[in-house]
Amino acid sequence: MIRAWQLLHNEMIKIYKRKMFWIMLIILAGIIVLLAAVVAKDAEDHSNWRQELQKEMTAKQSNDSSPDDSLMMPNEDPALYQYQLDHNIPPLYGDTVFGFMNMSHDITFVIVTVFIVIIGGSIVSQEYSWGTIKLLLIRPIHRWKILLAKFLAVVVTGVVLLLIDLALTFIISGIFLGFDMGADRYVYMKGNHIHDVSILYHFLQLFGSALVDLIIMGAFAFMLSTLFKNNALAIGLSVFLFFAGPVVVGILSSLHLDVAKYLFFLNTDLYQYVEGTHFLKDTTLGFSIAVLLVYFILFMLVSFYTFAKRDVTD
Amino acid sequence: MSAVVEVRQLTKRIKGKEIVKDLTFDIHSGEVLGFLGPNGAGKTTTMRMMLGLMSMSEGDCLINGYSVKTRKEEALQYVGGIVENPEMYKFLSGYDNLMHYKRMHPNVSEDRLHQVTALVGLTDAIKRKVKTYSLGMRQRLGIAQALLHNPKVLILDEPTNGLDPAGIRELRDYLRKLAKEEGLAIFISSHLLSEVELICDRVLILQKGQIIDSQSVREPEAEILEIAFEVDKLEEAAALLRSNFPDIAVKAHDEQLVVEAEREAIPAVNRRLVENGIGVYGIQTVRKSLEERFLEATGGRAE
Repeated sequence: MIRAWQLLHNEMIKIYKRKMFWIMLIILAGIIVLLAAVVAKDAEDHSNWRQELQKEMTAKQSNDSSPDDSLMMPNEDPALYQYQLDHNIPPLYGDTVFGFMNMSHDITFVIVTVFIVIIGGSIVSQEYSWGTIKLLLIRPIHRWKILLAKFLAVVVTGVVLLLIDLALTFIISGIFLGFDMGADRYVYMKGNHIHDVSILYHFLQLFGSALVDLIIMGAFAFMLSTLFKNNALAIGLSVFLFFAGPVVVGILSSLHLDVAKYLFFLNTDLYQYVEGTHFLKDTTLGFSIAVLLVYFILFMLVSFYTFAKRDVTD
Repeated sequence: MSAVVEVRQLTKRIKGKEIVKDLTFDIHSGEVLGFLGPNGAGKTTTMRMMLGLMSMSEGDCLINGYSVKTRKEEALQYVGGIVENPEMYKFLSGYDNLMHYKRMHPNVSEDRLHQVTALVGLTDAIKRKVKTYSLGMRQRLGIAQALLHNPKVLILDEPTNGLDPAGIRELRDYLRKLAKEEGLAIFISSHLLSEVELICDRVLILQKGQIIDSQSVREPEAEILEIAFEVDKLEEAAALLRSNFPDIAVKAHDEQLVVEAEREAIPAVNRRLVENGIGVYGIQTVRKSLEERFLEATGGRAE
């Protein structure tokens, strides 16, 4: 399968040898620097975290509403605090490196997803707009192989961007926060049970969930790119749906329409099942994976069928 | 000469309309075959089907014995192509562009890449980004990518589009050399007759999706010519020839007797006229130029 590797190599070159890719990295780094700078400005000393936690716990127990300056999520259970105190696990403060990584991933993963939507949404259509599709498809290679290489290139780029994102977040926050790592355990409540995992395992779960999200959104943009032959349309529509999706889901579920749970937007975040924070209570991890698989197969079938059958006329 | 390309009953229908109808022809190694016709005749569609860019409604195209339809991965190994302007990746260097295509063919060495680069005279510029290239340089890079994998056939759709006269001349000389020295079969389309006339050995004329004429550009001896005899007694001479040479078409035209016959027939016709007391003042073969034939074939709508 040397040829398959060579085809992937070609597609990767066409991504990273363009200015666009480097501009994306600069934007990503810029946003992380900005976030880290804001956090570093108000960084506090957490050596007496036990007292802080104790205070917060009693406040919570007394009137059952969290104080305004709570460092933790307002819905945290006092039992969780007790566990942290008993096992000497400090809270994941945002002004420590791990805390910052945990906090900033919400923002940076969205940015990486938008980048992947842009790359996936243009990887086929740009060949048409550049006119290079003709010289690309007169090679002694079946079209589906060329398309597969393109999709794999999108996935590989997604993994690379996520890794770069993690590395940049680690290094930049390390520089700004003096490599104060913070807690190396992550504790959370799921139902009535306390879960205690290593921070690395927690990040691995976030990473895996983000990757699934990336692949589905990338596949969606990829399908539009194959269908429309028009860069701007494919990217525009994918990014629009990426942001409009949650709104649509919100509207549908507020109307108590059950169809919302079958939309892929609602199912792309698999991490919600780790902490049990999923939006609709009747969905499960298995359900979401099944929905995503169906969509993924549909996107791929449409892409490969269109690309293999289409006459190159322009 | 063996046929490297065999096109058989090739047909393309789009929405019930036949764009290309039942084309059958061969291309031999060492031959430059021109594909001539007005814009919209179906030349590009035919070539795109041969290159696997468009599907065939009916018929097939065999290259080196492999069907483009069913054995694409074998058939297209032997074909190099340029479809209109060769669009390259402008953000890559010429070298990276060639490497890109090299990876898509089996068994193309790095040496071969440098060889074709030198062949088209781009050695000094090959590391530069393609966006800095002139149109002529891009065209030459296009030829380099078409030749990279040592093809047996070149299929070139309007390759001179956008080239200046010097560029056209350069390309023309180069293509003739490739056909002669390397034995390549070259199939080249154009809507400009003058261009094809200078490059090609043979020409297919396409109109409304059908081949309406297939002509050799360098006229062979045995072909039927129009021969004009300048004679005094026109009607008598015509009647005489009609009775004596039943195989030969004779017509009286503009005070001249126009005979359609092979070159070898001229002395015999002349002798018969003279022996029967008809004064012959002049004999002239009217060679039809390709242009006349082209205009004739396409009903005068050449441009």
